[in-house]
Amino acid sequence: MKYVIGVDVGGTFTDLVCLDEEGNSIVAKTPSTPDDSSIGVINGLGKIAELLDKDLNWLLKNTNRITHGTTVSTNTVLTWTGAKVGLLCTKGFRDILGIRFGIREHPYDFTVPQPEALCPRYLRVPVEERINWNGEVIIPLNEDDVRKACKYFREQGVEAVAVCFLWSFKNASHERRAVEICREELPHVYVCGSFAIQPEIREYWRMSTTVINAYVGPNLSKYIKHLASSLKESGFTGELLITQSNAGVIFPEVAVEQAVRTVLSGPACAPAAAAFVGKALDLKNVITIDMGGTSFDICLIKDGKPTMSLESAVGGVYHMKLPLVDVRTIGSGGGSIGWLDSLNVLHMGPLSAGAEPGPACYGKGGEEPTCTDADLLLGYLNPDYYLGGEMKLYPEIAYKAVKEKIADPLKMDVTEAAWSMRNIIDHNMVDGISIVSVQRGEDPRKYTFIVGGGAGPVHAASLARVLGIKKILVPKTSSVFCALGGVIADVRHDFVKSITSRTSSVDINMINDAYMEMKETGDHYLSKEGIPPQERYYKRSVDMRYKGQYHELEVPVPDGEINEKVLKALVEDFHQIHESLYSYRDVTDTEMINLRLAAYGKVYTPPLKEQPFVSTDVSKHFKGKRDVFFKESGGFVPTSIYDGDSMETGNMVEGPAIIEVKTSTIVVPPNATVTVTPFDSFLIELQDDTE
Amino acid sequence: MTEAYKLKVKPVDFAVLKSAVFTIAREMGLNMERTARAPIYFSAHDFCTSIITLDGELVSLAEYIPVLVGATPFAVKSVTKYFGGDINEGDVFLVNDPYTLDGGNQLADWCIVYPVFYKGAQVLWIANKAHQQDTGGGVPGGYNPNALDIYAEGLRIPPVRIFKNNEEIKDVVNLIMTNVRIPDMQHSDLLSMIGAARVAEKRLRALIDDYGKDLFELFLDDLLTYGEFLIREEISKIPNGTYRSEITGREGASPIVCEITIDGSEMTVDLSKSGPMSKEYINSPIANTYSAVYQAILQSIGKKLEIRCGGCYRPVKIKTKPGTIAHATFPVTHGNCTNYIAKQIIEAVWSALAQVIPEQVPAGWGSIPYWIFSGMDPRRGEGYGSPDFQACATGAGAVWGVDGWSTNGPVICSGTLWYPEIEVVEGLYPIFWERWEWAQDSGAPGKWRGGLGVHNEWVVDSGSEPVFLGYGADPFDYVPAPAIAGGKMPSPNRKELQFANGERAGNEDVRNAKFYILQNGDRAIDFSQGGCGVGDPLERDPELVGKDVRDEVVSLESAFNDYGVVIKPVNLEVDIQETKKLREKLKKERPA
Repeated sequence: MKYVIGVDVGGTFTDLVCLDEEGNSIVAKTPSTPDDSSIGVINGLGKIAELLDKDLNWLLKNTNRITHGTTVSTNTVLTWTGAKVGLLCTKGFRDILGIRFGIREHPYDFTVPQPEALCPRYLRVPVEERINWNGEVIIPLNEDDVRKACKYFREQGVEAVAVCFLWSFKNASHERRAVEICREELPHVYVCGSFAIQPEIREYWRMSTTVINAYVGPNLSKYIKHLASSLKESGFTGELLITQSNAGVIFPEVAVEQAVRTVLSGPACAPAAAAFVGKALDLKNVITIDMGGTSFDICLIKDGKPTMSLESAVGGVYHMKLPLVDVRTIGSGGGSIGWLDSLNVLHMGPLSAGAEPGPACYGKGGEEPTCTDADLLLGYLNPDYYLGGEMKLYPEIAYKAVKEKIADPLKMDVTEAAWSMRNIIDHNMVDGISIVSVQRGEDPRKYTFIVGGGAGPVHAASLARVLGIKKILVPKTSSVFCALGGVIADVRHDFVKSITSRTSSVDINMINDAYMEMKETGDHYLSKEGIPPQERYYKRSVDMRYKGQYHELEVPVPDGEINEKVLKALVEDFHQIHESLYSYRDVTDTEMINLRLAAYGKVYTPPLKEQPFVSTDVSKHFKGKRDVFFKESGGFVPTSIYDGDSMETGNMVEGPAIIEVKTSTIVVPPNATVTVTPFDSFLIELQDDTE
Repeated sequence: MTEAYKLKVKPVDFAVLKSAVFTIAREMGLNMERTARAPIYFSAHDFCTSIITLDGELVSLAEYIPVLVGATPFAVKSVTKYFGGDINEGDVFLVNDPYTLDGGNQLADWCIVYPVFYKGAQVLWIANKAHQQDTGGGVPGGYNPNALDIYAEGLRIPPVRIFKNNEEIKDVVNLIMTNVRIPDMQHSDLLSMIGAARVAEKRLRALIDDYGKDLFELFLDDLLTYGEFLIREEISKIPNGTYRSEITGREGASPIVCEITIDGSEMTVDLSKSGPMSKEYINSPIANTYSAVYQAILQSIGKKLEIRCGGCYRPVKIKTKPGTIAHATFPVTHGNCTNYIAKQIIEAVWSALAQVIPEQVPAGWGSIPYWIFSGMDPRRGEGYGSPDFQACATGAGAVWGVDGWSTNGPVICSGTLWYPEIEVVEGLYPIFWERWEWAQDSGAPGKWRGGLGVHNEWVVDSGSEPVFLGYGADPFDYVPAPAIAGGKMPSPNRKELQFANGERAGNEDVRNAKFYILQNGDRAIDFSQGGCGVGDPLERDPELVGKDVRDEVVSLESAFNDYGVVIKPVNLEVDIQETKKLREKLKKERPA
């Protein structure tokens, strides 16, 4: 038997999923080891081997592929632990990076300090050179300037160099030469040029993306080399692949070169896993939600594809421009703290009790009432079966916290207070989901929820009710969705070519040539990675806007030669997308800004295994009854509790009910039913609201 | 102190609805931002969206540009006064004129006023305002320094109906579009404002469906009272008394005089003693004045408020006198009131408050010195015209404990003006930039330094086509203020033109001429002002001065003279011993 394994290293846990050729899956979770993440990875692989009754060496010898998702790059930026970066920029424009196009994130509160650039000003070195809007050399590159800068960087102990000149996406010759000189002069330093990272118009975004690449490159490179050698020592001879923020994977050498593509890759693969699981049930339009201890992630999947976005900001301030899976995060989690302001208005979050001391009910000294405390008091959580019983919860401490901090000042009883807390956090999440869907012109009622995270299934049904969503899917693998998303991901390389032209006067040959050129570069990478031509596929798009607009919309481009007819169809597609998003279409000319091509290499993924139907009868998984609060029923009602981990295909439960699994708790409200699907998921169906 | 208010609706309903109405205003803003065509709108974010009660109080807003924070209720009130009793479902109104029923703040800021109906009865207003790339009048772009009266500044639009039964009233819209220079683009932007309102209307109706109209109306009361309560708490923290400030500039400047009286949780901002109206086009219509005062309050004592709604304005009484520069009256010119007099009003409020709560108030920002260029782009054979946003990158004032942000201006935008990238402007205009970077020593010294301004320099690259260059700078060099607790003032803006034929025009020449026709190879240079400092520069952490020197944003001389910090020239490290001695000496030498 041969295996493929997905590993996702998170802040707290390292998640693993192992698939065999028949589609059987094994899941493992092990604490992360932040000082050297590879230890956690090897530990997790050991756990998988144990579950298979084999040793680690045997497992790794029989593993074809390991895909690895890591937060190394994201954390490097968030914790300011990246390389000392030197930047070569065009003379006269030393502060593009510092000016950040003038944005202030909080226009009313001037007590927030201006963010420090990832490359400080004393390491931003202007070089004499200039290319104009048309790609013509106006001032030739002064190579002496570059060499002098290299000498200065050497003296300053610079660990990575980024090069970004004006208009380099039109004519990269100066950047290419400067990169060459840097590599020559600084052979042990990580060097990258914007032309090779994101050759796209708008120098701030291109430069910032390139600087982030330089900032995280050396750390990522060190980590990947270390991990690869640890795996090799333990007997692994297969392929190691790294996940990117676009939910595709790349080979380690490319990941090191294009390190910025691993930034924000953490939650990016989960939606792909949801799409994969959804596909098996023919669910094409899905909203994935993942509620953990401190945050709530939302992603929209339309027609089976997670929505992508092009612009993002790491830590809210460091901007990147590359296609990535658009996962929005809001600060609502199980640890969100409830508090009253001076007018006794109740708020939930954004402060979180985190893991230490955690919610009051953890009994670790936390005194603030949290969402988890409210969920416990309302009977949703079982104090003796949290994390499958690994952790005990203390309802009496939760009670005290909610009573003293919320209920007493508001002169309400503890249950009403807990219910209010829960209701507010639910609505914060509902607003988050609305923003994500409405902004995309989508009606959430046409969507299905796929739910992950420990706290997700506790809240999903309430959110669905408010949003008018009828179906909720809770896959048993949802707690390791990121790892699963990595395993099923294809290899993906993104390319872009800026053209900026009125559609009415665009040069069609130039478009065809540009797509051809990007495809060739893609093929170059894919063949380096050993992916044969028949396993490759390509997706093309063009960023379009109305004449004079600043923001573009991405319009998919069909395969084949572009001609007048295709161009006309693209314009019509653009009008339609614009109208569906913004409620109107315009009569004015359109512009084409960037051509994009993604080159993919298929990797083998076993199909999900369909489990045979067992029975609708769920009685043998009945664990007992306890009182649980349901607003629809007017308060606490005796509610049946089931053991979800042992439930089998076809089992059916009528709400109100609680299904307990080791990693979470599924709350099934009245007027809802749950069935176990053939693909190991719980499907909750809500009937019309009768509240 | 204020009495705690008891909400009329349940706390949970309040929290939910509060979040929802702000989310809807934000969505409207996102939709407008992503669909607009005028650069001043999507890049300078010179627009705002708002939801307003039938009484004309702000419920929620997405203020992209802070100085519009209080202007939309004026537009709604003018529509109500004019059309009272004749407002129907499917109507949309448009207004820009500052002198008809006080509806507008500036002719170029067009406001659509959209009544929201629920089951046949009006429940709310939506008012979305956006700065137009052109508004007719004597010159393109809406800024006409030579205008004699408001007629020469642009088309005056009193409250007028532009949609009926959801259909555009074509003749009226056509009349308006016929009188502006970029009708195609401006019509698109009008659709963008209305489109955003339509999406929001749908969302508001769904919300009222869910909660019922009665509860929703109680909630609106609660929300406004909540906003009022929050700001009253902040006002109560200021000691009772009257605090006066005056801001003026070079000869001929009409001063802004501001007297703030605090009485418990009430605040009166009295601007009635300000000087007479000016011949320059900077006079402030009342909507502009009110909005500026609100911005100043929200950015000082209100900076941490959780919400900003009309309730926050209730305990603030504003006094003005018609015929003064802070209360312009028909038919005086006003086109540059936001860039200049709004700034002076904001900073006069801060200066008055700085006397009593210096730790709460921002220091003054650099004043913008920008150009407005226009002409024909030979590459496309199309006309263009725009302010030089690159030159607007002035420095922010410091605030107690934090340095001012560099290149973040102007203050009326406070970091919502997104400067277009060089690759964008070089693509849009036949101009070649040679420099756009922080200007050394432009941030005024202080324990917390003012933000840096910019050194902006470009050359005309338009072949045989001329570039028309208008001067948009502050005609009187009003003094940026306040510099707080010993912080210093930045040096003034500087502009220069170097012509291809070898001639030059200096700061004063440019100020007097106000208008040039540039030819290929002519060069424009400006140094935009930095922000004011806070605290004594001799108390600034010497290591921060060292860092500024190594970053070359502060010169060795300024470090020595202004900050009393001795830097070793060999390695640019701070000499602690010598610094101590120098600082003692400089302190002794100070006049008592």
